[in-house]
Amino acid sequence: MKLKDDEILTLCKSPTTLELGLRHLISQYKDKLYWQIKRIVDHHDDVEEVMQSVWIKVWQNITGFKGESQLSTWLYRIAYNESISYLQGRKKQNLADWELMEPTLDDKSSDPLFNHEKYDYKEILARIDKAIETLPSKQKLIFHYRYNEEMPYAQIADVTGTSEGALKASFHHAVKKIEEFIKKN
Amino acid sequence: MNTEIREELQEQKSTLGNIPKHYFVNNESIAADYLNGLEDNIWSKIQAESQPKAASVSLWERFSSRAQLAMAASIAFVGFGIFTIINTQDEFNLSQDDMLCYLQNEDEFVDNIQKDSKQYVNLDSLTNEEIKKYIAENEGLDVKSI
Repeated sequence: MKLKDDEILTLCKSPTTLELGLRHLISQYKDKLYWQIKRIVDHHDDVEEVMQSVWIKVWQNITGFKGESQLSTWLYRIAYNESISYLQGRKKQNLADWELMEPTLDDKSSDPLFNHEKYDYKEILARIDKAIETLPSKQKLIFHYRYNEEMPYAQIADVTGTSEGALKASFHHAVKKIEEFIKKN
Repeated sequence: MNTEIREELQEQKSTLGNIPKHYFVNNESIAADYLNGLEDNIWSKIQAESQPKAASVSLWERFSSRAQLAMAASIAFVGFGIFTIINTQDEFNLSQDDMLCYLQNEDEFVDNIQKDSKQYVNLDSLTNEEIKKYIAENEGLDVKSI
């Protein structure tokens, strides 16, 4: 049964129904948060670690959530911040590097969960898919928020702390690069 | 797809604006059991997190009250001993004024000093003959030539 955000929040606010509320919350947002985090930290094992710390943070702070932003925005922001902290903590790369990092498609083969068989997609979808992978990391994430999640720019700005103008420009460039990639290939 | 986004894509003449919405997750699948079992997995982590951590007992609290009392008494005893030694040493560290004051007030001591001093002979009051006689008798020297 799918509950509305405010219904989930009501459950989470009471200690007796906290577990039920959190289970609904996880159930409804786990896929979206998974893919958002994966856009940033890349490897499944790292995503698992970040996911865990995200939900612990949610559990610790949900009773203090005042509803000043949408529940989804709040969750995305926690996931975004935890992912960035994870990257910084691991010193795998600093934030500036991550934002500009060009993808290396071959690296995906090291991920045991990468499913090569899914290349059976329709031709055009496969091309777009590949094109998205050529985007720098932060641009890819912004594309994910805007196209996949259909988030308004104001909400993306709230999550990432980037100005709406910069986000619009980034999405515009991402779409342009995807189009060029499709034409080239 | 959201019309605002579709219009934005069509303005750019993007292929994305002309195809049905598709959720692009970079051609990857994740282990089905990971997301399926996530609620249970996370909840068990939360429960583990909410368990009260073993309280750390300080070394002081580990001692019984009797042992604490004995320790306090020992410390007090040692402290008193050190205090006494320091004070005793102070008595010997008298200033010159203190010593003078002491001597002036100790009549017996002063009397003894005076008696001792009477034993000494005032050489100025002796004649040369008396001195020569003393030397001849006590030292065995020939004093006639002096």
